[in-house]
Amino acid sequence: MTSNPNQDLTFFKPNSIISDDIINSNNAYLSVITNTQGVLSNWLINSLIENSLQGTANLINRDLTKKQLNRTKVTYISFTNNKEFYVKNLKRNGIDVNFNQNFEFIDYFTNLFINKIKTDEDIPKLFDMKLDPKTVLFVENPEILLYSTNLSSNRLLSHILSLSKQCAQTFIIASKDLIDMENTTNDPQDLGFKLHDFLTKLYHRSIMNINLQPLKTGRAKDITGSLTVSKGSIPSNDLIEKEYVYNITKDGNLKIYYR
Amino acid sequence: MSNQNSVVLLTRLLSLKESSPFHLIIDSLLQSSYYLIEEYVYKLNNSIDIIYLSFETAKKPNYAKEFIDCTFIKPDEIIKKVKSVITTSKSLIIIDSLNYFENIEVTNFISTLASPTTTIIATYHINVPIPKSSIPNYPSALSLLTYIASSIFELEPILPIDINEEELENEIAKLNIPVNLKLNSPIFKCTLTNRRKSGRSIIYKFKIDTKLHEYEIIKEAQPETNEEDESLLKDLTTFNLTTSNKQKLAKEQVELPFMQAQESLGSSGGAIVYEFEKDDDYDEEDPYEDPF
Repeated sequence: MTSNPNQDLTFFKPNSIISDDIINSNNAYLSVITNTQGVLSNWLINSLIENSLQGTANLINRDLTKKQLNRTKVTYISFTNNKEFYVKNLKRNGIDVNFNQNFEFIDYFTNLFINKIKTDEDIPKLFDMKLDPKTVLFVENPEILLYSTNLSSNRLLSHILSLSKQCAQTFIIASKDLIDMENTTNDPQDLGFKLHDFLTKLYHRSIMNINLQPLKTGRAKDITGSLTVSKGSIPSNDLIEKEYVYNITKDGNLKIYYR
Repeated sequence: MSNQNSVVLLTRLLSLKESSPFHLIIDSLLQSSYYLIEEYVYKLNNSIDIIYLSFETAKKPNYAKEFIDCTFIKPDEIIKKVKSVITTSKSLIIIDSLNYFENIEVTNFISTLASPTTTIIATYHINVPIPKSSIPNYPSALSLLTYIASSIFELEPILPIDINEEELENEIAKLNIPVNLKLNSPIFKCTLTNRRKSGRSIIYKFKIDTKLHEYEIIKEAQPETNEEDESLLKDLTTFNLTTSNKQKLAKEQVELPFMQAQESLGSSGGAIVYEFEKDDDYDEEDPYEDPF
């Protein structure tokens, strides 16, 4: 595999990551990115932010080199990382978000349960915000609220819908670690049940599902994981369904191969 | 009913010309109801007011006259809102997902809204896990819905022949959606169950092409079974188990006793015929003596 030339990641025709049609659309599109502990999607998210802000995606698609100033706004809501984490990571992509007015970071990681959620009544306030229609919204690990509060999956989905209907494209990033088919219960308070319900209903709203998982065959030295881009329940004619494998080297370089 | 009639039935259902107040669409992560709803809209061609009840749809679809965001409101408030926008003429209510209702409230919601002038088309996602009922042993929402629906559309993708369906189901249960299997395609399989007023239900399988708006009945290839295959009976025992043609003819010509009884007695259109026997003591004057 190492003898193959480096191959590029493309989500939409013709050769784009987040297409102009989506950004300029009046619709509200939703895509789901799922990962597990061994294969996190941070590298992909950095590139999606880069592509949203300036049209390029240096690390994953070498043909997208044309920089577009003010392509779109990005609002990033994270329940698992603080702003510093992304400031540092995005520097690898050549973006300093500290000085980018189109980038807004909402930190729901730092002191979430000390300052922001004191009782369950505070949860709706987290999602009470106005977004520009030409925004790409990222919500990272909102399922944390399902585990740590009495919030039901239906209610969380309603909160997410209230945000996603305001902007052109929403990415929900969630972990699939708790989906365990062998120990499934039908108790609505069970964490596995809540997550399964939440993700399945999200898939019924999405146009694109990106799934990162470790290799089924076990660990390999030259492959970190696989990435599958599949259609969601809402059709998009331009979506390119494909399977990739990727390798992140020790020095942080990324290589992508078609499967 | 012939193949042609079944396609006519489907067309009449899609254009709401057939009397059927509640159409239930059962979809999955493999084949969503999106294209079937679009097909309804195409067939209806703006001839009816569409009220869209959204539990998971972000924006109002172009074809909807009214769009009601149902995410933060209770079922009785939804009913009030729908009734306030409904006109006296014929209207159609599309519900994007019934999975957000509890099983104890869903049938009441549907039956309150459905009427001779209001048709409901609602989708139920089969892959969404079913929560334990708050009332023990209460039926699931899906069983209740299939019980009250007048037409049920079960959607499936048309999969390549060599696909292992069990493996695919396992992957879907783990929420791993495979690629390039023509899932969520505009051409799909649909099992239609239509219930007549009499209670009789008829089931057809169609291949629906929403690009060309063509419907084709699918005939399940049945393995050929020849009941009279005499070769199966040969060499099993030392006895002769087979029948010759002459014996078969004789067997067919035997008149069975109940056939005879039907001819002589049942000829008067299902009436009960009582034949008096010699020991019967029947008094015409006594009303309690009437054997019927």
